[in-house]
Amino acid sequence: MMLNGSRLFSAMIIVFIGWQWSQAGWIMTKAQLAQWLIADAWQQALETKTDSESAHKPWRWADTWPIARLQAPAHKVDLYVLEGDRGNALAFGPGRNQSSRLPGEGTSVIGGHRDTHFRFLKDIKLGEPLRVQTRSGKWLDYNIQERTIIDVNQDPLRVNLNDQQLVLVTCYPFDTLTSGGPLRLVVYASLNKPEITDLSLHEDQLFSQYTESSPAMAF
Amino acid sequence: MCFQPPRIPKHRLLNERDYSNPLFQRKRQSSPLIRWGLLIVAIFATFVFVAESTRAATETTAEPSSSAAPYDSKAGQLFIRADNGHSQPALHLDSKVAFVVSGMVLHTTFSQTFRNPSTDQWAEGIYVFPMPEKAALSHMEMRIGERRIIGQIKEKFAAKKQYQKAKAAGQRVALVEQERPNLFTQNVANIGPGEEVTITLEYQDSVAFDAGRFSFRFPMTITPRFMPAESPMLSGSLLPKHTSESGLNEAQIQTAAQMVLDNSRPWGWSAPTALVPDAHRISPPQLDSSAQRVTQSHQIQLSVTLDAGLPLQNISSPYHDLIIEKQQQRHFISTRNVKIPMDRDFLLQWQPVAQQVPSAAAFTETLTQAVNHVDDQQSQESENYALLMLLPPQQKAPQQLPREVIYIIDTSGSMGASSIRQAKQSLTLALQRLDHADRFNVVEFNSIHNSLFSSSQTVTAQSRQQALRFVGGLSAGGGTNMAPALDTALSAPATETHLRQIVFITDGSVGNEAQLFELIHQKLGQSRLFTVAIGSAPNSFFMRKSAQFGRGTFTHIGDEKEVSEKMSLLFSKLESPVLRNLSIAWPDGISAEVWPQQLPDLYRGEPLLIKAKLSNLDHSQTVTIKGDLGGNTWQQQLTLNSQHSTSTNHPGISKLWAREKISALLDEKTRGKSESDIKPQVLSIALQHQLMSPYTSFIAEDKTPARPIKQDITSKLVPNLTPHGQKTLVYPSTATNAPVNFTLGLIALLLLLTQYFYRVRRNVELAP
Repeated sequence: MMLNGSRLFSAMIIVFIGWQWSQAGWIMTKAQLAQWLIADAWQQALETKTDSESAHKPWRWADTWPIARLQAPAHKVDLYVLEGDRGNALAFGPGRNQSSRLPGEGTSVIGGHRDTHFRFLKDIKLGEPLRVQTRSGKWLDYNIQERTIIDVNQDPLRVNLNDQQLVLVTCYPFDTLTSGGPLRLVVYASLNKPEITDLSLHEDQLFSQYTESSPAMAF
Repeated sequence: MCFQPPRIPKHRLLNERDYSNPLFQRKRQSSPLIRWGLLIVAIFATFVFVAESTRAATETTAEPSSSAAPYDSKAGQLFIRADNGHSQPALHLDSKVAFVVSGMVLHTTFSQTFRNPSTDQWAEGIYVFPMPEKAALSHMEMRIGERRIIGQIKEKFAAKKQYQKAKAAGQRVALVEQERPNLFTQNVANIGPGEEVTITLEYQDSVAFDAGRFSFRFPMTITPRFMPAESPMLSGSLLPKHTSESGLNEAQIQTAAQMVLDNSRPWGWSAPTALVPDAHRISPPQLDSSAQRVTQSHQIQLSVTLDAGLPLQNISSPYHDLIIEKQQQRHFISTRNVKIPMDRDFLLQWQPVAQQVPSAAAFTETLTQAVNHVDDQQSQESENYALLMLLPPQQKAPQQLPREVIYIIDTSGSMGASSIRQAKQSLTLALQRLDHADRFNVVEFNSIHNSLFSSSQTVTAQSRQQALRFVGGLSAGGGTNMAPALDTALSAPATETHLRQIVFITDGSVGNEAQLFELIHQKLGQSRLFTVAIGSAPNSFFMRKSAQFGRGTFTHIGDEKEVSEKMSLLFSKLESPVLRNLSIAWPDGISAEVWPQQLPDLYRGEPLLIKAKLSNLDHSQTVTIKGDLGGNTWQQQLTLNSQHSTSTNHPGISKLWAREKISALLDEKTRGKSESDIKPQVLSIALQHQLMSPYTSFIAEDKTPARPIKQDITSKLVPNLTPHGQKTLVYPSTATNAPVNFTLGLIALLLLLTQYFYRVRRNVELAP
């Protein structure tokens, strides 16, 4: 009797562990896998250069599509930015707030999960470069100007949409169990020189970096 | 089983095998208990912990985590605005509104309750909220528990200073300020921990009447407005005019003075810009309608008492479900859900039965007050006010001249989602409706503007097709740089042969209204401007005034269902002759002060609505109104009943008249009259009639200090809900449940190991 009871209990605990870890694992896997699929969609978008924004969905039933590619060379991070910053997009990649502009057209506000894609913001430093590739294939170089922790109940998101800024938003603090809290880390980066840089060089460089490790995915 | 099984102690059940062993009996009796107890406590604790952190997160009162301290101590790298990384509970907002309609006059009582959920902190709430653009706000009171303090009307700066002083002294104080005719700020200071303060506002308004239907509208949220940074290049010069000798213009001086007082107040999402110097005051934060907090905050309870004075055919609200109860000639109306989210305008419409549509109506109010004369004699002095409504006959004959129609469509970011669909549907209908004799063009604008044709084209199957394709391809995004687009349409060379009509489809979400009005005054010429407001929470003040200055009409579309009905109403106005050159002949012996002084042109279905102050009203009088309608003279008479012949005095008409006068005086400012001429006039009329205006504020102050001076007070901006069907710039939710899932798994693993460890040890102990 006792053995059965304790075995049952152990089994339940094991099932529970399996359930919780697979949930966590799924969030992580989804976040990473999707980026590979999105990479293809982005490549197609770059090649065809159609006007229709939603023409290149990463998978058939997707309700979002890539709008930019974001790299943080200092952190070996290479991400595809999706349209929209609701849960549906953020599970698969950082997302642009649709009320903000596209990178290159004005200030772009991009949100990302603190546990997955935007984990790297934890270690970001002022002055570090960020690079963004727009739909037209053009690369834009930004520099991190400011990092601020705000309380969403106190501070509205202050951006001037006419500037050429990149505003990255993620939940704060990083290492806490709580989700849905009111604190955010907001990183402001300004455009350096709006020139087209050599595309092929950076492609090679960053690809090798990406394959080495992907700190964005670290738990 | 049909019997109660005997109660067997748990430890016996679990340790049946060892129970007989006397050596370990004592130990075994307690140890498994402790072990299992520990497990259960551990599991319980885990769940409590998780539940607690989730709850804390939902109520946005998350405990400061130790890791919230600056993680990078390199000086100057990390600004923490969020009070050292601690989050603060947001103020809670609960609203209630009661409308009483009697005839053409609407009386509204609107209360806002601010609750401070904090357990230890004193708060100041700052809430920027919308109001109907013509509302005559004439009463304010503050309620704290059972105490009621009636607000007083004061000059704006004096009221502001008094507020600051009372706030610093720890007194409970509330201040209502006007930012725009349809945008106000509620400041409430010294709300104690766990306390509630209710501010009640009362206003009068006249109900709207168009195409045989009455209506009123009550806005509940704000579409974030675009704040242009600098003056865009226009074809003519539109530089600030009123430059004083010091080189600073009045606006700049005002702004500088305002800034000093604004220092203590948290700014909205926008910084002041050259064109919108008060942008920081009119850019309140937005709260996503889907946020969990919204289930408790930002809900309104709404009721209407409708005494239309006419038999009604129907009562409807296009955006809300209603419950209507009829008692005698009154209707009592409420929403189906007792509380509704404040995420869009409320609109109530009622239609009299066809034969009963009024063609004229007059309402009067007489104010009597005792006047003390110099020779110590007292006498009664009365003031007479009248509200006249006159509906010209419907003209069946079509417009004679062919038309040149220029459509301007707003494709900025604030038009996203449902608004752009409504706008495109409206425009498509308009294009299909064009006649072959007409000429047309389409201009779309966001940050930049773009015309379909370089100049207006004749309507042909081909040009129409081209336009429909152009409209079909439009999508929303970018800024709202309205001025250049409007300028392009107004500046296009006019032709003698065509009547130019500009149809402007937008949500009007801009902060630089004054600049745009100036542009319309300068460039209108023979053009007529018709505005079509789109969306759940458009800037009605801007839309209505633009149409007034543009001598056209104003149409409101709040939902896709309304597009075809409202647009065909607009088409009938565009295609019918206009009643112009209106004049009023007052009877001999009566002098009248009428606002607006310049009577508007009337389009098909529109009534003439006049507010007048009359020198006397001793006996019934006849007023004659004349105008030109399609080349013929139109004339109608209206009888004013004196107060002696009827017992009905309509309270509120004096306020409506005063509000109209303030509005007309401020219109002069947009026409270039200097503020120093306008301000004293507005101030005197606003103070006399106890009305809110750009130069007067309501203040209610509790004399007894409530907050101990040692304790600090935190200013909190109360957000507005994201308008229904729109996306706005709000912070995304950017945390996953992965850490929680992982930790729970980890805790469970520890439990498993603990259990395993105990079993192993027990087995060791049991071994002979």
